[in-house]
Amino acid sequence: MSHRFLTRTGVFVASLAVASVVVFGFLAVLPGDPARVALGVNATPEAVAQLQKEFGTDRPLFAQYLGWMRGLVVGDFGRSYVTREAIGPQVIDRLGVTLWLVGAAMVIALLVAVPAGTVMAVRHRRLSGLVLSAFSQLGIAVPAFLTGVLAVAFFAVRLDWLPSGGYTPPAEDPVEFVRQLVLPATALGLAQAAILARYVRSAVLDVLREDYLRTARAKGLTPTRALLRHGLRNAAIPVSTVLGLQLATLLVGAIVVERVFVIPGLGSLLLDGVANRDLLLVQGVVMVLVIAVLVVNYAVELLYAAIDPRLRGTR
Amino acid sequence: MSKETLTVRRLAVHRHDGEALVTGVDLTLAPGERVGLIGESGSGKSLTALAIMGLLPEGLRASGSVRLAGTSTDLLDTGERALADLRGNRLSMVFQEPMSALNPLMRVGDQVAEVLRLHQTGIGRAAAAAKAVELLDQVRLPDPAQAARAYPHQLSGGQRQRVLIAMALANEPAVLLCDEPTSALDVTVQAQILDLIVAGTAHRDTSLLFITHDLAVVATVCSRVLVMRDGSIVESGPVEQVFTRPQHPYTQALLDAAEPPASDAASSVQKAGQSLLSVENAARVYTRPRTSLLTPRPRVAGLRDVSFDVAAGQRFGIVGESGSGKSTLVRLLAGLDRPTSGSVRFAGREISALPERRLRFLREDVQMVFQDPSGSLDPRMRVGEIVAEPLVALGRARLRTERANRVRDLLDAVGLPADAAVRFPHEFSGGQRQRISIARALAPAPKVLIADEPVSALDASVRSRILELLASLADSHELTLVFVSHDLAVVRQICDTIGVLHQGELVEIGPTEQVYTQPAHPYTRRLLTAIPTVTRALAGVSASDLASAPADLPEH
Amino acid sequence: MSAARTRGTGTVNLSLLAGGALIGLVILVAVVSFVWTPHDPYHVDSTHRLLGPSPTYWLGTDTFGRDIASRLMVGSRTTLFVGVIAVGVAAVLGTPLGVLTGMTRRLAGFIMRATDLAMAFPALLLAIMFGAVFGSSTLTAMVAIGLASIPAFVRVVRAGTLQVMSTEYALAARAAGRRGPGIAVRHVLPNVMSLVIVQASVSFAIAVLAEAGLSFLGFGTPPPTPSWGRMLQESQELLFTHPLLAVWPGVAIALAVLGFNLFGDGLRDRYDPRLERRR
Repeated sequence: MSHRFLTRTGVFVASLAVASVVVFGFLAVLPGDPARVALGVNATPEAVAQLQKEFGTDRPLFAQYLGWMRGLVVGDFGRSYVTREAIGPQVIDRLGVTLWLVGAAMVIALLVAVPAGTVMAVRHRRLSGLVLSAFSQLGIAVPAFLTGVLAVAFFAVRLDWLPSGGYTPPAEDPVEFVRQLVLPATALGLAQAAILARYVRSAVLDVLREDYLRTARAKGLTPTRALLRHGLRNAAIPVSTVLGLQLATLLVGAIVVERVFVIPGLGSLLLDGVANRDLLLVQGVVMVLVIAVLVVNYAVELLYAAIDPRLRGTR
Repeated sequence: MSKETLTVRRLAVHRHDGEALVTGVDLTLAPGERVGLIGESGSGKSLTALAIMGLLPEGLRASGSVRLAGTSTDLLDTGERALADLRGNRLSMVFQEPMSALNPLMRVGDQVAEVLRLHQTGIGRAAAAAKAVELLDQVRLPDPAQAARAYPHQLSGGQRQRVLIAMALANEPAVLLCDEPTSALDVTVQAQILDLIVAGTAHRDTSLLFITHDLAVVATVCSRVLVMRDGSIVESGPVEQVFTRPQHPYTQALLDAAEPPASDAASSVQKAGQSLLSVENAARVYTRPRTSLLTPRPRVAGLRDVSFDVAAGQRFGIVGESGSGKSTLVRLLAGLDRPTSGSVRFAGREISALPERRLRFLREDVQMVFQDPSGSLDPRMRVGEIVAEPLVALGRARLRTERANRVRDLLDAVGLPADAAVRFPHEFSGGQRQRISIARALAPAPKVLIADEPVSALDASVRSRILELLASLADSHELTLVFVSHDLAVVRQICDTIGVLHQGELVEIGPTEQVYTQPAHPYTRRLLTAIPTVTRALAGVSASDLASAPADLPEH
Repeated sequence: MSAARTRGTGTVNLSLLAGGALIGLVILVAVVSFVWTPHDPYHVDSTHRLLGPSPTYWLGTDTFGRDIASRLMVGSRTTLFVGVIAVGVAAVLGTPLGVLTGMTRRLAGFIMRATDLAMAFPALLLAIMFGAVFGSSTLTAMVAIGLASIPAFVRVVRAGTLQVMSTEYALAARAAGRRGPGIAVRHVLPNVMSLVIVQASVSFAIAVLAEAGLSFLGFGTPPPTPSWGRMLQESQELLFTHPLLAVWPGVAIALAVLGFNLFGDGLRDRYDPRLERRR
């Protein structure tokens, strides 16, 4: 095990711990006791105390935090203060839906952004590159929810090709699952592709200026083959740095897109929680989102070592 | 005429707005012939090579004709695909920067094998890999099988350049173009690389076009030479003729700059005054980031147990190659870093233990001139502010008019017009910027001037003028000079005493002429042997002579 | 060198000009809206519901009969206000932090780890959390977006500071007798300022998007104050019959974001030291 691997792991675990404190602490500062809120203003002190005991909110804050953390580790997010339902199963259930959406969007984004960004870099002084570049600027400027709304207006309402929203589990009806996923995933993915393409463009532009690419040409590789064989893997290093951050943007984008397409994912759950002032639920969902981002960042860090020999232990 | 391997006629390179960067270049290479192309930065010598290779940067166009023996068409009219088949095969090139010229993500052996597999149809993966190891052995990499599995970052600059030469020679090319292949390397490594290039091309009967700014290198390596200036060839002929009876005044000027006379300072040791700077048993150890939790942080000795004194009025030269610890030593002397152990004293006061706020006395009396004339001046400050910075920082000359007067005097002293004060650094040439840097150093009227490679980034013709300026300022301002350089010739020109640094140790110290004529330490001897000079080259000293190291020093 | 520069400015000017023009347009509209709008943006008129574009109602009316053009004009004020405060907060807090992490060893590791962690909380998520605790308002939106924009400034400024500190002119300043704070003020700040300006422009675009997204979800500026994101959300129910209602606020958002992004890109190309280094 290299030192790098151990430090990264240490930082990852520490980040998780700090993030949990932030999320818990932030939502714990809310004025008003959840039991009192749940029972309304006319509740007797005994009833409130009774409910506090049930919620566990009579314990000191630190004990509450520890209890919440202990639950998190085994996937127990506690029971909602509002609906009294267990939060864990809901979160897990909805997470699956969101992961389909985000995963599909990420694939679309990569499939569009890598070739588009590369062409933008290679032809950055020619018309085709400039046109693509302009498109990517426009793509960044149009948020996913706007693309979503317009896509519904056109493909669902006007042409009636695809459903305007909803979600069917793939096990139930795979065809309908795909039909319903196409528009939201494309809306989310294209917005992301536009941003990602700019990163790919600048990474490839940097690589094109490198001496080793000139060496490759001097060896007898044509410009295209030199870029494919020596350039793209080098360009992948800075691009993969932003992939982790991109996921954070995608997850947040999914919250809004789920609203547009009425998809019962984590985002809808979060918004419902906020609307009902169901703080334990909000706390749980936010934590899951943050964990997802941190896990991906950690994975990307480890991936570097696989791409870049300079990071592998010995030198 | 058909016996020439490469024939270039009326080669010109134009920008697409029509401006000519290279015009009317004629050159021929016979089989096995070694030709030098000499020019200073911006002369168009690199563009000439890139034009021949068909690798000009975007936006530049070549015209004229480039013919390679064995191919029917003009290379300038050949399509990219056909040209790619020639590159690395019949026509190869080695570039200046070995550090960045290899793909960092690919094993060295694979990169050599790639050029074999590209051009030799039917060579299998295993055969190419075996041939790659053989080629790495030919360029004298120790343990070539191991080296083939290494990634570029695991090799030194000299080793990487060997790999690039192996790649360039892999397919027995008819022509090898080398663009400043040794300019980024230390002089002892340069000697080995030059030897390798000469041996490798001679063995294959490959024609060599060697591009450099260094006349001595060309004299050592080549039999014929072309001198380029502002995009055209001003003189050409056999080395012996051009370097002994130059026809063009520019060639003469280059020769004068390349073989400077040893200065008076070097011959007459100054009357030694009081000891001003004193270094005693100084050591500096750097800790690297740890690679494993189980082992302690690796420690690298930058400097070990160095002691010497610099007397007032002395011109003290410090010579060393990269990694010798000379930059570390400079920082210790200037109070910009602290020794791990030992002491550094200025005028009897210990400076190594003092915090920054108590180093004012040192800042007033010890000033520095840096290597990179573009990097040592803040691009967003006007020259006047730059020169006045030490005055402001030290709280001197508080009145604006007083400062302005002082700046004007200083600019005048370094030979710059007074109106330079209101301009920005990028409006000046490299040599002028170094003058600005010197004016700044003189601002607080220091007793000691530490110059860290002050002329290494400058062309030879500018170099001698800056050295003259430094020498005359040292006289007129009664400065004690500490002059650090990798270049022995430069140090010899200006210093009366020399210290030689090698791997963090001061291996030799003494009067300049003594160190030169009777070097005591084997490393100094090897260093002196490795330096190419025009005179020695004309007397028959070859590349392999330069590379022949005294037996008592291991190669590094 | 001069070649690269002239070539550079040719394309740079296009981005800068187009971006500057779009930003100028949004600012102009916002300023004009204080003194004049075609109609009262708050005036509800049930007899003029959902009209198409006409000479009286340039862009038509919404479901309450309010003039869309007037509401878009007033909405630009919200967009700019949130953006200016959020980016201002981020730049003022992030720039010194970036310089500090670039110049000192001790704090750097800790601050950078904190920055990495903060990046896991994008503006929209932070704003939703703020909204859940403090209720939604323009203020919570601004603070959340501002806080979420800090890490980008820290990173960019730190990278710039490290670069400045590695130059010989920083070393020369020390040799000339300047101490840390002097170097920070005289050399580091002037040289990283261009990076800060570029980042401000890019962050502004992100802030506009985040504000629109928040309003779309109902977390931003509460009604009846017009906001582009909310107008878009209100249009969603009428998508089947009146798709144009979604187009107008959408175009407004896209143009504003495009303006700030283009402007930032143009500035970056202009300042990029790599372009200057190229022959």
